[in-house]
Amino acid sequence: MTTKRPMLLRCACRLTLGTGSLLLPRRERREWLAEWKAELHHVLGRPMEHGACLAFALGAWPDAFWIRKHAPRSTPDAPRLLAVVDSPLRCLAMLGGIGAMAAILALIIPTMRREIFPPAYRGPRDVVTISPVPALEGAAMQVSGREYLEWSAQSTRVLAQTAFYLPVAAQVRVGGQSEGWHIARATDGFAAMLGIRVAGDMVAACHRAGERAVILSRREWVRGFSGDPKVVGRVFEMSGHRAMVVGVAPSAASYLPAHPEAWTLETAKAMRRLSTDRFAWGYMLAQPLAGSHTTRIVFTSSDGMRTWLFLLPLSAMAENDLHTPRTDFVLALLLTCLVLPAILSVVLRTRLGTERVSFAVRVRGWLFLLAKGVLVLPLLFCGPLLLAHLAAGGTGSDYAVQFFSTWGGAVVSALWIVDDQRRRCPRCLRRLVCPARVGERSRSLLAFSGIELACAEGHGLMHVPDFPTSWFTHQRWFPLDASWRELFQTGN
Amino acid sequence: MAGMATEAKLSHTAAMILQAVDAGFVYGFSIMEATGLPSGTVYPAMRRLERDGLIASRWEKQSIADAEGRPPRKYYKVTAEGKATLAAARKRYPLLARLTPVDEMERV
Repeated sequence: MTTKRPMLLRCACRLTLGTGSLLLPRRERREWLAEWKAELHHVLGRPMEHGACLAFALGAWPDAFWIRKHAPRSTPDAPRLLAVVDSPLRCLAMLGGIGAMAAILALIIPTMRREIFPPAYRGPRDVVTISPVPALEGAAMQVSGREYLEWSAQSTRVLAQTAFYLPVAAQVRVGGQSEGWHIARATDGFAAMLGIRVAGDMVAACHRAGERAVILSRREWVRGFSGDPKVVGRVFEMSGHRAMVVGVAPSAASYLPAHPEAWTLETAKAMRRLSTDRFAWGYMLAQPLAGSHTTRIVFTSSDGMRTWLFLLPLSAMAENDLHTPRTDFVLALLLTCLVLPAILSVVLRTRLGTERVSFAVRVRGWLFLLAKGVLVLPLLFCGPLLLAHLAAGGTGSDYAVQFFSTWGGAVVSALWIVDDQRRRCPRCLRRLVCPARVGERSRSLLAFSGIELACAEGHGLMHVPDFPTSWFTHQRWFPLDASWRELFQTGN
Repeated sequence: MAGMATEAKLSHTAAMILQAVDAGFVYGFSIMEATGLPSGTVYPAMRRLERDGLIASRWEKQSIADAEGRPPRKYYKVTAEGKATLAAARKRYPLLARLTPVDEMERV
């Protein structure tokens, strides 16, 4: 008698058996799977509930776990995920291959390619930030609304036009979803200064209708509006007001201080009122007169105080933008180098011990260690960048995700690289095999207590103590002469 | 000595499964049906019994399975050592005798 079963149930049962079989040593896998498949065939043919069939298949997992737990440890073909790295050349080839795949994946995604190789600055060359400090210092570059009004009125001999924007927080509702944005309230000259084309009467019409005229940053246009080419005219809600998109800022605007997600173009009257607020601190932009190469101007106030103001080009900000994947990567590696000695001593406890090998062999070991470190770098760079790209929803990179995942990845990689090196024969650089427990921990003061590993080629034995003692501080290598070689080869 | 050690360790569940195999329930699912135990209990217990030499397994002939249009099954039978252990277990667990024999052995 046969019972018809849904294809989904059959697939789920087979998948359960297939995944369970991966727990087994390879040589037992085929027979185990054949037995379970034959049993499943009968179960599926019986008049049983679907859930009971699936429960039967799930029983394969405890069975697989039991076999795995009781499989002899010395089985030569037991599953070893890292068996491929036994040979030093294969280890390097594997690291290189993984790194190359990560790099290719990162390079074929256009937004990531732009992150890795940012295009040259193509924004306006004559836009500068007026700052009371001579360096790109973020918040220190802010000026008050009152200062902006005074300075812009008295600098007409040097500056063709000025603009001001004030960063504020806003609650925005787009497409039924509410989220917090960092926006900036800007003077009406802001759009013209950055070369943003806005229909002449559009901003005025917004102001007449009591709406906010919004210029989206390029990143927000891609993220929130899916890069819609007809985004101009779209209406959404901003802090309880209607807001209309009147333009999209060029990518150069992303280098402006505070990195707003949008700018609202305010009326001159509203900005003047805002500028007299003593809490209103924002950023002042200017366009020097043609032919002017001034880098700083001096402003004398009515009470005779002289203030130096510095003109910092937007292009210089782009070139000095610290938040690039490469700088974050380098910073994460530097941080790893700082904390690594402490982590290595705590986690790995014992250090590398290669005193009983020749200088040339030791140099070869260090070169292998260095090669592993170099080959893991592409993966450390591209892997976190992919994660950061996914975290940002495909619109760029989440720098925090990239930095911390690079740092975490670098620490884990360094631990693996050093631990892998300690588990290799100093002579042939192959992974040591046949771990055997020697001694007892309670008698560590009387005799060696730890793990003994052997080189499969018969080059020697490595003794790794359970914990450092005054007489056995770190792992020791005991070389064997050629007379042992034959014995090891038969055992291998 | 090995037999004595195994005998001493035989749990009620293992004894039930051994009795079921001896009664003629010769493959995993039939043992499940006879004992009422789930697959996650029966199969690991059978592995343990086989490892201890109390039961032995063999694959059904491919020609028989092909004739019936199904995959070949793995059948189990109690070994001589298993029978001795089962005899001792029956004294300890008298209710084991309630598992009645079937004619499945005849088809193997």
